Amino acid sequence: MRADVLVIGAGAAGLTAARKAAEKGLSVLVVEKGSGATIQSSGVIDVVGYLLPDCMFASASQGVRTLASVYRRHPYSIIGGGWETEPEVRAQRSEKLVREALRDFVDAMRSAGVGVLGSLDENILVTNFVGTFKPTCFCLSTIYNGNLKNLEGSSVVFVGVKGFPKYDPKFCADSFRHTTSCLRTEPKSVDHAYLDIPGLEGRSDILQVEIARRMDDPETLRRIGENLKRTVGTAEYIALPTAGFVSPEENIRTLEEVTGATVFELPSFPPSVPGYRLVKGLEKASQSAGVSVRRGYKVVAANCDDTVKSVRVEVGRKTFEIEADTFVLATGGFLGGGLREEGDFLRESIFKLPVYSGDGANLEETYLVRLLSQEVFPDCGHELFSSGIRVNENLQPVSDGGEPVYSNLYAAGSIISGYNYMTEKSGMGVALTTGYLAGLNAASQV
Amino acid sequence: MPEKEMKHIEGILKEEDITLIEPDEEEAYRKIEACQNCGLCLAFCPILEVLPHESYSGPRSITSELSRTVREFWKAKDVVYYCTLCGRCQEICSKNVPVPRAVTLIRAKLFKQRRDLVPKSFETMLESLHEHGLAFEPAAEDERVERAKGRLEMLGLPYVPDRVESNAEVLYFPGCQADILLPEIRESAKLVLEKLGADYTLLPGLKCCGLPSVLMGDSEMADELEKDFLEKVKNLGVKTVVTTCAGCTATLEGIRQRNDADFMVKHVIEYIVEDVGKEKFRELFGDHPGRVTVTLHAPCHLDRHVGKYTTDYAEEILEMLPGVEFRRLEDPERCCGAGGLLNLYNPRVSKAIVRKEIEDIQRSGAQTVVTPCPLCLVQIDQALFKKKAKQEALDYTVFLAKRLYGA
Amino acid sequence: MREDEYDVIVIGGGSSGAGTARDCAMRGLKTILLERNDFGSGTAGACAGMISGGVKYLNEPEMVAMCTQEVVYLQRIAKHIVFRLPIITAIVNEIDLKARTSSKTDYSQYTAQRGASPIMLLSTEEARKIEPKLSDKILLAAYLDEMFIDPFRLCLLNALSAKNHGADVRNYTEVIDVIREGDRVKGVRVRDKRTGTVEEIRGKIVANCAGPWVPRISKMAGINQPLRLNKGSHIVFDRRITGVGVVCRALDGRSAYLFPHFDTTILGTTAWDIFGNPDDAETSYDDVEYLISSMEVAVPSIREARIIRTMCGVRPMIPEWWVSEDDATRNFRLVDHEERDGVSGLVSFEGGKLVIYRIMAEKMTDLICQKLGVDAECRTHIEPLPGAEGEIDIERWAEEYNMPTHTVGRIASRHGSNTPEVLKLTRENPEYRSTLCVCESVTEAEIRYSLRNEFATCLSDLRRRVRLGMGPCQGTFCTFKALAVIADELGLTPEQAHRNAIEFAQERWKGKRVILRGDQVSEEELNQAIYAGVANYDSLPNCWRRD
Repeated sequence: MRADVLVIGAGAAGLTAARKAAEKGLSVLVVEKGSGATIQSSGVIDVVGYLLPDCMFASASQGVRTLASVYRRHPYSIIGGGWETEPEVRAQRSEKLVREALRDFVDAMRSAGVGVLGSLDENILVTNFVGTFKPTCFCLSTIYNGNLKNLEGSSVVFVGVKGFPKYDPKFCADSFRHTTSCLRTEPKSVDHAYLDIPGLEGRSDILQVEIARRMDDPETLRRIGENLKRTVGTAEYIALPTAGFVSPEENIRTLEEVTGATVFELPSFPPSVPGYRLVKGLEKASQSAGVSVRRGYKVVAANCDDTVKSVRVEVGRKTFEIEADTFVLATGGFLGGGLREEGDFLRESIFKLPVYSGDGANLEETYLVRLLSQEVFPDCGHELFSSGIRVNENLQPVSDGGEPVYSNLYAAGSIISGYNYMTEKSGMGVALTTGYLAGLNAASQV
Repeated sequence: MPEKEMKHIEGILKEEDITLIEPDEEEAYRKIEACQNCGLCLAFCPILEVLPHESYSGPRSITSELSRTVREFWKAKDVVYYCTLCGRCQEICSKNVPVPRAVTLIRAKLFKQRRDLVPKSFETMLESLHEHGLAFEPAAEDERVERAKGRLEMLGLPYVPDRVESNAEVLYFPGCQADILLPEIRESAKLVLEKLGADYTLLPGLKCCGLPSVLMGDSEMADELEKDFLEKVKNLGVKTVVTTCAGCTATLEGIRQRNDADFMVKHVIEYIVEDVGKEKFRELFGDHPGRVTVTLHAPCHLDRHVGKYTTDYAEEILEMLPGVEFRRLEDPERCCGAGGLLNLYNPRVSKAIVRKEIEDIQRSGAQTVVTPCPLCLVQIDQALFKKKAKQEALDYTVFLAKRLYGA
Repeated sequence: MREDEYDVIVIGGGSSGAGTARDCAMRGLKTILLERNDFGSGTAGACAGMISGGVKYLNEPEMVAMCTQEVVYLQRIAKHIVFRLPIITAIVNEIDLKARTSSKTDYSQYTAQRGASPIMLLSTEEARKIEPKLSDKILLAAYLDEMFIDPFRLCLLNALSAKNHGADVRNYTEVIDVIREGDRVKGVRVRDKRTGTVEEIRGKIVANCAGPWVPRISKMAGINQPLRLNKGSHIVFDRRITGVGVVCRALDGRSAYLFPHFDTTILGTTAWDIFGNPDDAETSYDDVEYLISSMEVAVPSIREARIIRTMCGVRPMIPEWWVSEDDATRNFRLVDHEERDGVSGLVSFEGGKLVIYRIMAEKMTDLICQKLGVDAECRTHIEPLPGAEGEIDIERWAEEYNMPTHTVGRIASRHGSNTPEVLKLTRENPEYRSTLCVCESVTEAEIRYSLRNEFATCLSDLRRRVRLGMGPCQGTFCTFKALAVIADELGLTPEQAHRNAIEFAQERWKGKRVILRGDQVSEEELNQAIYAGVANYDSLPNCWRRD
């Protein structure tokens, strides 16, 4: 089997890289063993929210510029130029690239039928199932309208379902009230309500997908709408645990018509329906560009001399080689499997690339426990989760001397060191931007 | 130590519901323990599309809870028989946790611990396996041939007698369904192999591949059948065992791997693509009077338990056949709901699962749905019939035979 | 005599303290039990739960007799949380062989008494038939049965029983001073950790059952009472690895054991004398390697098994020095400070083991009664603890309450014959049937029941009561689901609930950090992604502080 460009990993980074390469007219193959972190994401697209836990960025563009000029090892900085590039220049270039990548993402998602709203020039605050908040940049359109700026001064009702253990609207509402009071962005009123969903009455252990499937059924949705109207009365904003799987935007419109309120979906904890829709949208967009996505294909080894010649994949009981001109490594962090612990050390799974901490220290002989803080949610995150491979400004993995390990290998996403997506709230932004750049670079080399 | 002391200890193990974890299960446990409890699998489970989560705790609970308590495996009885072993959970899982393996493991322990809790609906098949080594009651030979001829006549296909050779390269393994219930599959396989000019043989006295025994948890029977199969193939000295059933392929391949045997196991689809070659196969097809639109249902046991490339092969073959237009289903790898013995354990749930598939088939614009698995075939066929749908279902090998012989 | 004066103030909610409070209350004494954290959160909760008939103490025959008798009693009064485990002692080399065979006959006279099997010798092959995971390189093996108990439930049930017999029971109440007037101890001063209020509690006798913290309390009374504090660590694996327990000689000549424990496996243990604050005791990387390398010899596959956490406890040993920890006595000493130090109104324990907690409590209560001139007999060995009163019928309950068998089974392993009380909650609120902790099958009904009836005040308490968060995911997927329930039952503010979640995560982290390997690392990525990445717990406290 062969392709011009082989992308390993079908998460946000991989699918984006594949799409950009395919748009150049090349044959692109994506191989995926199962799933990674993207499919579990909450439905919001972080670009960058925090510098430090008590230093929130007002906009992602400000955040990117700041990180690019101050932290040279951060992916947002690396994409702006090599080590010697002036901070100012780097900040400018990085911002431009991030803007391009996110614009491209929003357009691609729209043509795949998934609306995305937001702006790099203004971060928004969103809540979640337990009523706390976080800054983010873009959201699936079904989620966007629930941002705290909209909710300020309005009447909000958190609507849930009895027997759905993942989300209790009463607790969420109480917590949200407290959150907005701390932030001084109080709504006019915050209430909660339990909704009857046909088929789920008297139930327990309800799954988010069970609610989503019912919302996708037009007849059931109609009845849900009636129940909602009756239960919620005259609230201006209604928060729902999900908008559906197949036709979420349409479902929301229907409910908005019936209730006269603005209805939004809450960012979700795993297993996440919005996260799944996000991946499906990215997949569809890449397939429209001609990418072939192969699931159930697990890369187990690489065959290289000074370039990567091929990778060995396991597909069920068969093992065979896939050759390509260029390769993009988008295998993710620990959840995705790109990084793993081996004998108490951090290792990259496929190419045995050297691994580094966020500060650039080579971690070949560093015991994992040294990269973990005593506190469970430390201010700057655990060093382990900002460790990974190092890349140059072309997004080629490099070793100690800064030289690319293989000239035809690129990397994108959370396999890259230098950032902590949990504390910065920067996961999707780094994945999409590095995916964008890696895809273009891998394509141009063919 | 004296015999009676050993018996005493074994008695205590039984009293405490302690069933042993064998070293060959070690590998499975290493993979099962990777479960992150994230619940992603639940959105892909076909049973959870039709059964409420409160009635079936699903793949997540099987790996992160039920597979951990060896002592109390019997308490999983409410959950563990619902699984069709489709493997969609394993496929989407970030750690590829082998849920189907966890299910068969638990069922095997349950069978040992609490034989009384094994579903009564399994008893007939269990007895047949113990008595005949086959999942169904076999008919007498002449009766079998009569039925086969009758079916072939209806399909417009010729009858060729069984070929039994001692030095053949290929053994055709029909499996219980094709041998007993759906003789047209067995016959069609012979017809296809004849056309391919394959040096094949049949073997009277072949027993069940063992999958039903594994699914029931009867590991003793499964081991017996495994030994029997290995011995028979060794004596024959064939290079390849060719099957027409997805379940047999996956099971015999498992046997082959466990014993590091030196023969190959292939579904006839794999045999055609890998051993014969698509171009050569294409040349065997002359002009065919009829044009037909077909779609493919990919059986879980091939697509997920043998490998996704089998679905590619199946599609590639259909795409190149003259007079055949291939339409892809929206979700060709959907589970038909018959697997895991769910069709015996809870026929209502099993039939509810295939409904979505039928809708997909009806939307596809195809006249015929083909599938390389007799179990899937029966499930889909019955569901199409019940719904009075216009489409018909055919076994993949039977379809190939019909196209090859102009039927 | 003051109206509000207690007959006895028991300090310490571990096994000896809760047991003493129970016995005192049952004998009609006005009793209060004070625990600074939660019941069983000290030494009792950090052990492997073995209630041995005394096979380790064969050089102390009275100890063996006592242990054996206690096991018989515990099988009666706590039958629902006691389970039998067959154990194979693998003899890995010649030195080992010599040390063990000499004791075989001595122990057998005791095994019959508690209905256990006599010790039997097995060949390598026979041993591997019983436990296939054993290495084929072992020389010989011995088979014996021992009993095990759930230590958290044991402490809780004793406290509950004390309450049912009229005692006042308070957790999260810390003794900050002992009130001493001249040579008489009159009571204690306590701080309620939840509210911060300080109050005086007066009592005729103060029973210091604080385990490793006995010296700290004695010091408050002006008494110097040194103990030999010895730290022990265990590793917990995510599932049953072996079917039976395995014991073998550790790398340094001590013993290492691998015991299945409910649906996990516990590997232990280490023994380090400590001289600092027992609250600071931690498991080190070396402890982990030592344990795994030791057990690897007998069960080679242990290295690949998934570790979910470590636990660390401090043994409050009688201060016997110049002997190794292994050889030091495990017997207990009941100290009457009036006799020893001339200070009346204070008694304490030194040493002891989980298995003899009840007889320890009996002896202490005998002494207290004697001092108070009360004549009442001990019945703690006769009356069952809550949940051990009746029979367990999982299948019937599962059908009656329409719940899955496996869930009812887990509830029964914690609540015994009281299980219907838990299940009843689902009649009025069917949504309480929801499973919140998938790993351990903990339903909302059980959580609410525990919050209402079992002194549970936070997620960490619920972990000890009903095993919330004890499974492979270590609370990652149940914490956010349980928040709403605890907020509802306990009337917590949202901030209190979220702080609770962070505290719980911090507690879990302590046990995780040093063993983060393999699949546990990606579990942690999920944990961080959910609680920091989505819920923003890393930043929220800054937000709250602003107010």
